[in-house]
Amino acid sequence: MSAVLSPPRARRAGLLARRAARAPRPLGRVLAGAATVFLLSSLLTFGLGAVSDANPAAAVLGETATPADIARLDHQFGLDRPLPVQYGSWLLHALGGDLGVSWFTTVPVADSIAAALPVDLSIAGLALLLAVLLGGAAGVSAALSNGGRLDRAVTAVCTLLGTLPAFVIAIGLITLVAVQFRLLPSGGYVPFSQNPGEWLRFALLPALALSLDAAAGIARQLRTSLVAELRENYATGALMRGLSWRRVLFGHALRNAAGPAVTVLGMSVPVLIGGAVVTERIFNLPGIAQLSLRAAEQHDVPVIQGTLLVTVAVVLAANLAVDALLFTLNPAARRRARPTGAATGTAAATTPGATTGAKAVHAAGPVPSATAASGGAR
Amino acid sequence: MNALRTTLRVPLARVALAALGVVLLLALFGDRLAPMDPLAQDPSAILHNPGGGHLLGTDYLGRDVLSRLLAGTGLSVLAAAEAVAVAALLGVVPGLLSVRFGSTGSWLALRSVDALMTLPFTLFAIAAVGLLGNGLHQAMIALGVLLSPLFFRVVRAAALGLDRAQYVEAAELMGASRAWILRVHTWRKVLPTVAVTTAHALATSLLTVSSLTFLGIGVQPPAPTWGGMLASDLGFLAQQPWAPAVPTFLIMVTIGALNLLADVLADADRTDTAALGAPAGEPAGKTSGKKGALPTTTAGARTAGTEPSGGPHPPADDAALRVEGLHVTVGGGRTEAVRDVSFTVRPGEALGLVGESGSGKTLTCRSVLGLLAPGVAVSAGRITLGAAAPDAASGSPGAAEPAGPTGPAELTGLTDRAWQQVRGDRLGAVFQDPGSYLNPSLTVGRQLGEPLRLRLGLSRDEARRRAVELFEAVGLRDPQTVHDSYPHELSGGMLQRVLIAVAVSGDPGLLVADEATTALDTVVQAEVLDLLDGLRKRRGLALLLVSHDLAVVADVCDRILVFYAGEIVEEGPTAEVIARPAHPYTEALLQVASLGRRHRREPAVIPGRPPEPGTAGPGCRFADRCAYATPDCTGSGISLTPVGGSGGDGTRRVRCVRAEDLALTGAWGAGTPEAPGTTVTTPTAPHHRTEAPV
Repeated sequence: MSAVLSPPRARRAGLLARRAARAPRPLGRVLAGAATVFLLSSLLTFGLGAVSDANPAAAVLGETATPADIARLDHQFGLDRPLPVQYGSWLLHALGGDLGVSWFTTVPVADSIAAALPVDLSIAGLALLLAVLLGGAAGVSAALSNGGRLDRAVTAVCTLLGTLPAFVIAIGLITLVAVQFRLLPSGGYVPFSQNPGEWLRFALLPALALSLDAAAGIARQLRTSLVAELRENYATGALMRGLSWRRVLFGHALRNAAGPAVTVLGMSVPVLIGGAVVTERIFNLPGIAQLSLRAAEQHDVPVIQGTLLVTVAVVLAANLAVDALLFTLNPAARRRARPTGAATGTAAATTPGATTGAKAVHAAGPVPSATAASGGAR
Repeated sequence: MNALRTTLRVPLARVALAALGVVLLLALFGDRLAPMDPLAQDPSAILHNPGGGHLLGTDYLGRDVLSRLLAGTGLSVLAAAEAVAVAALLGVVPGLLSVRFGSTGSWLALRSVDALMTLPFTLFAIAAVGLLGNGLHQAMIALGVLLSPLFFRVVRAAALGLDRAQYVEAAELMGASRAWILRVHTWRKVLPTVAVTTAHALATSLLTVSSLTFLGIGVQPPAPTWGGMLASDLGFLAQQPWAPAVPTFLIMVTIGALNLLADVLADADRTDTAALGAPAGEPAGKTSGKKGALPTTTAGARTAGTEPSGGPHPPADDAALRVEGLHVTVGGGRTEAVRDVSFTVRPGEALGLVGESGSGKTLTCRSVLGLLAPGVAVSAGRITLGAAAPDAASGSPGAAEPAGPTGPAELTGLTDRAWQQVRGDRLGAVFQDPGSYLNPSLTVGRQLGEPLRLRLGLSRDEARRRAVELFEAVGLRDPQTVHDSYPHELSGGMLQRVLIAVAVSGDPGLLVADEATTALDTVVQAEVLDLLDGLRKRRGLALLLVSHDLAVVADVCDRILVFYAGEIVEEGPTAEVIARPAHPYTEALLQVASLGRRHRREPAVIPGRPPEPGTAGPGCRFADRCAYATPDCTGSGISLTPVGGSGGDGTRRVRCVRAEDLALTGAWGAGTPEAPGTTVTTPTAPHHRTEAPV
């Protein structure tokens, strides 16, 4: 009997041992993971350019380019080198802040991005703030009214927002706020460094349009996990210690319910940046998406690759920030002997069935993945 | 598989499927149904509202909106489907196979998935179009690649869960081949998940396609698409609102239907899974809390209530707790689960509540704590907490409360705020499964210190000192280390000690222990009981001990209340009740209990099961199971009456018509209390549905 039983059991023990052995300190693992992801993304980004038949001569001269032109410009941009060499040099330069020059204008790509990125970052940052405020308030109040009128209203609005394309929301807001009530300008941009007040006037509407989708995701997730947390015995235990309802909610339940919501927040960063493409077009913002749209029309490979790589870097940085936030939210996880990646954001996002990830997914109710939970197009 | 069938039975899912069916038909045959050429411009009919020859009006170039919509559906929907097909192809198979990858392979696969997930859909699709050529296929393949992690992750998770499932291991042991297992078991488990993901991916894909076509990516303007129509028509919202409204509506309906379908599918799948692996019983702490959030304080309690019955009540003005004529209803007032319960606990006294699960003892104790779940309410009766112990009053300087900090407090119908003053300060409680009553993400010291700091205004250092003292007082070795530990770092016995320390931190007059030792092993159980007993004696604490285990109660309590089917059936001093039970149910409990009998082999149970709440007739509720039952027992109005020859305080009462003429058997040697740790030889199984596992 025991001889029959032993193989799976031994295999399982081996699996656990292996997993325990390769579980380094969370911070180290998170950083190593992020570095690998960046490397893989850069490979994908570069590969996309490599398989395309775009070349600088065709981009600049169009149909009139002769084979001699093509060879000359290829050589000028270093495209006649072997692909691994090209990738290596591109990546090394990129890490040093040099993303090459545009085929079309020969303006350094890094300069164009440096001009465009603050627009996106400031608006996405404001959108993130709005998403947290709106989503947090809606989620908490829905959980408080649990099943009541407010709860149903929040659920209905969130569901509705999930079915609307971002540009419809944006144009709806323009029609209402900018055209109907003339409260805010319908488009344009003033840098924050130039005039913070004006910046806010121009940034508020696009940020709001951008934030609603993420806010809906946060609200839904927060409501579900807050209701679940309040049902836990420890909430009863806290009440029995003579703590007020308010304190049990904000001091205890919210802290534990915030984890999955923060994970959703982290996942909505690519959504926010993806949504910026449409928002930038509608609100006429000189951002990174406009840059890449123009580059795509011109088949300007270095610009396209550069914008993608910078976007990936921004998303990864946001993921790391979310990890750090989850880390501070759940100090117990620091000391827990963790089998697979537990409470960290990327781990949750990457390891299926990891505790937080699984919790986020289940708590999100009907959604099989938190990415889907945040709805719209990233 | 079952989940798919279950889904079809949900009416909303049918509506969603029907809507999707219509959209699919439009996508396939829309261009043939179009009444006009979707590209034909009519300068004479620009921005016409619906009517005339144009059912939905015309756009800014005089094109028929309906025709454009019908022709545009195919392009949008089929493009979205193409992306999802690519995603499923790239996600499902690697997801299934990844379970078999080595650790390095898995790690690399997961990081690749991460890499794909960092790329924003629209931006990547734009890049793909810019680099690979401006066509919808390029954009959709790019989108499909980015959507594939959705499939990869859920399929891998399902396959991983399956890999560790016991029935797969069993199949393996029976010699089933891996391929067979994969085919039979994996598909059954993975298919619903894939269906849910497909629905979600389609919704996401459709939104992205409309965004891309809105931007003019992949499709050039004259060709009609949903997004393209919106791009041109939203500008004329004021003149012709129908042109943008109709595609928006169609997008919303399609995506709403997909989301709804995914929700129902996921629900059905989860119910399926739950039905397979759900544990039969429920933890005792949650028996009454099926829905709703935090248990509300006894809202809607009618304090006026019925006149407390049950014969003469001893004058007990000094009572630590007095419960009079308590009735508790469940199911929103429809069913009475506790009927006419009255008792008192004096300071320093230990009162035990025993009975099977569902006998009403836990509901009674939760009523005292004000922790009834939504739908459960005190329908009549009074619960009065006695005057606080004199030494406790000095400890709470800032506490201003309606009843005065020391006077008796009526607990029924208290507001949340008033409860806050009572709990912790004058009323402490410990429960079964102590770990679950502590917040997992805060150290136990901080949780004990929090009310001290808030209520007594202690500083951080003072609170710490006080907490460490308390931990020491409840017999925790190394209290400093315990103070800085998280709940998961402590054992069950230590956690119960922590919870006891928390419960007595406010110097309460009454400590309620609800199955506090049930899940602990016998040695720890004895230690915890010892601790409770010691605290009671040292602090003059009144103890209300609730347990299904007569041995536990007999070990500590001065007096016992025996509950059966929501009523008290017997009450009296422990020694007397155990030596000379007056109710047949008590006798039956004693017979199955391990008191005085060390070498019991077979698990003992009382035959039969108690009546369901609300179904009991007017007569004795135990009559069905009683060996001594006579026709008299089914008559009405059997009340709790004093039995003759009561000793001591005269509170020996029983609810049995034959109490005087029955000579029931008590437990051997129960008159002389034994040393703690030796009497307790009960198998400590968690709550049992119908039988008392004593």
